[in-house]
Amino acid sequence: MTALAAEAVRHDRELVARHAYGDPEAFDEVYARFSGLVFQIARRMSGDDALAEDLSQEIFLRIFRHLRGYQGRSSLKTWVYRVAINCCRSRLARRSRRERAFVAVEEGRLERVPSAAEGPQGRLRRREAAETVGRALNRLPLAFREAVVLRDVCGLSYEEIATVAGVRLGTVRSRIARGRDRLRLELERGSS
Amino acid sequence: MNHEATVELLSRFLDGEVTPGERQRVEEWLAESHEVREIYEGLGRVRGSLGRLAETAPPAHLGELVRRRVALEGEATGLWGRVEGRLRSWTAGPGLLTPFAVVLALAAMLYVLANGLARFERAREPVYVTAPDTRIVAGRQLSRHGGRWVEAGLDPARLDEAARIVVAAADAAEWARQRPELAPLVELGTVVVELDGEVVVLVFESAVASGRPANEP
Repeated sequence: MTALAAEAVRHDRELVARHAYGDPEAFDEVYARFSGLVFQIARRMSGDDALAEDLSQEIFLRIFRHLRGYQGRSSLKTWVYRVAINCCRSRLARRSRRERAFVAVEEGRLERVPSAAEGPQGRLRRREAAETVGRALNRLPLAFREAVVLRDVCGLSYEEIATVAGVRLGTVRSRIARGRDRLRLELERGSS
Repeated sequence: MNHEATVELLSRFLDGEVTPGERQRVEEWLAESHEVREIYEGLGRVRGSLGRLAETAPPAHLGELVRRRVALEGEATGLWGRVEGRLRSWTAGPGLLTPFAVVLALAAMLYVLANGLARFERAREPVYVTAPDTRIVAGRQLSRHGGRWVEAGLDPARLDEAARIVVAAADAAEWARQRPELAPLVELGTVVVELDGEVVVLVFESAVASGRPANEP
């Protein structure tokens, strides 16, 4: 562990100790540090702003309840990712069972993805393409979506994803590749 | 190589998560195969698009909602929550509880160890097996067997053919005077000894009649 990482872990532990001691400002600091990250995961995992808000509240409530149990074995950020992913898993697994039929109907309505080199308004189209990919993401199986979001949206390393998701490195590699490949195929199907 | 393995390698290549050998193999594929190049470019577009997804800031009211829910949670946990919080904060940080627990555990281990050793030492003490029913009288080792004293080393089979000599109480003193080497036996009651190569049962009526315990002459 580098000196910087050790310092970060020490700071995290102090923050947790303050929270455990009942210092309300400690949790405010946790919220300020991680609200963007939590909302981003919730939004990309759920694909729905309203649900992402709900999920974010649940995630922070879990963090509030369990923060005292943080042992400092990984960084607080990794720990927050893990809580967020677990919360999304349990909530979205319930939802996906309910909404499978609806998604099946939506399957046929894939947007056309423009190529990056298409015309002078490439920038705008790239943004549109990104949003299209975002929507296609919602149709991925949860395990693939999770791996792809953690890698391509959050920028975590393969090792960090393995820690957060609680799976082996080989599984992470496979899920990222299969998730990306499914998105690629869906988008190609949509653009043809 | 099947499609899945190819895609996985291309995906890792895209992230720079390949060995030098794998890198070389992918570069050769890309140079040779149009199909592989298409897959690779498609994966790259997906990754680029995901990376460009607009990072939306959480809505401003989310913080307030979270605070309210957390406040409700705090009220629900009440006094116990605060006590638990204090206890956990001691164990989470470099507080007093952890060293105290370590000291307590060490003390318990020492106690168990010391107690165990004491028991072990006690177990090692020699056992003194006393044999009150064995004694040496008149130069003979005698053992108590069923109300009579039997000289050690006698063949049990010979006891059945032993001659029986009864010494009346009145004759005991005279008998003792004549056989001074056996005089101490008079006090014992019934004694089985070897005399001149013969096994003999001597019954001293004086001792038997007195009711004196055979081992308390």
